[in-house]
Amino acid sequence: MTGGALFDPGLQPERTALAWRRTALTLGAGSIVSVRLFAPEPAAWSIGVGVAGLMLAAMTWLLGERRARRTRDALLGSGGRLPGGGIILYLAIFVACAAAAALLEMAVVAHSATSWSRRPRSDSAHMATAGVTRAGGHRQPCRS
Amino acid sequence: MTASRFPRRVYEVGDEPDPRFTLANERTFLAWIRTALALIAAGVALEAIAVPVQPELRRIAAAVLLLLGLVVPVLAWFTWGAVERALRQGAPLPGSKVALPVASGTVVATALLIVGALTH
Repeated sequence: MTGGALFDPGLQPERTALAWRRTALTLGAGSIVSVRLFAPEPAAWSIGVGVAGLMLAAMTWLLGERRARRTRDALLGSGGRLPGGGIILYLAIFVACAAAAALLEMAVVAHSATSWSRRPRSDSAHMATAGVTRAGGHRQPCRS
Repeated sequence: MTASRFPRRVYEVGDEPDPRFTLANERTFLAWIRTALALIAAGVALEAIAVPVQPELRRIAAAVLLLLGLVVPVLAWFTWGAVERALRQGAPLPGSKVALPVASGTVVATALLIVGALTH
């Protein structure tokens, strides 16, 4: 490793840094799209969830960059050790929580949809009703 | 040696492996995380968009995908740790804990959607 030459021709640290960036971008885009799908019209709760998702995505990006810098330092510089698994655990927990939140959201919606379905409705309105009950299920508890 | 890295279960054993292997292990973990995000997105989309599938089956399929999105990051974390540990010990790599649940879960969700579309 002379003259600051790259660690290996496979550009391992760079590939890993790019994987972190891809993941952070997917997180940001995913939270925005999910919020938009669940709440077609903006509401206080949906904006809050969206902003929180974006902030966590930004944090993941920054943590990934810091980790990449440490990795480069360890490989090219002082010969220190690669970073540990703290950020790895944070990311796993964060994504698992996002899934849990979506499941919870779904359970709430299913609950409110059940109470709606007791009302008489025509079969022809079947498709539309699915969307309407969901939208109603969201807005009622939030706006009242 | 400086302070031990987290998790100690991984770093207390063996020696520093070839950094390329460690970095590849990290990228594999990140790939599973993105897979989990895709599964969550699919579940959310199924739940929120009125696709022409029998509502009960569509709901169950969405729940299966979201459950996978919940389980995959957890299993990916444990797989990452087990692989890193094996790398440090020079031991054979353990199998992935993530692949079988993802494969079987997506098959179940897809089957539900096919049945739900045909019976709609």
